[in-house]
Amino acid sequence: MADTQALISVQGMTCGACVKTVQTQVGNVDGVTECEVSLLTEECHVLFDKGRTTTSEILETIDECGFDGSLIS
Amino acid sequence: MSSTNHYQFNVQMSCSGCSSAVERALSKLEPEVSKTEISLEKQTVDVYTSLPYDTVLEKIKKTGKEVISGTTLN
Repeated sequence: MADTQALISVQGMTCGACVKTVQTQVGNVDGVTECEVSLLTEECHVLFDKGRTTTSEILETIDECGFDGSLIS
Repeated sequence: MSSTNHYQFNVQMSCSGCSSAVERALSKLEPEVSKTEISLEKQTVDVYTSLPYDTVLEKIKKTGKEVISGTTLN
């Protein structure tokens, strides 16, 4: 099953540790195969298996980290 | 007023963004959480809440920050 791409805007990250936190937490979501977080553009690019997880689950994970995630595409 | 517990956690936070992230995550537990005090210098998170200790600990762990220790002060 080809992976689905999602681009999520993540507001509230201010340092490298915040980026690492989001990357670790989103990476731990079952079904996420790849996760790149950019501090400059405040975006999180995620590759995930649509069968095992959904964008809303990923957004919730980002929310639980204390950041505001919103789906761009 | 239900009994308000006062928990204090040592949480590894490296910048103001991290501490505000923890604060935002805990604010989602309102109204049970009446007050939170976060000190970046002391790396401590004080939570005044009627919720049980584990619920709060779980919430902080979910923010991805490392919880070094936690105590219940009353």
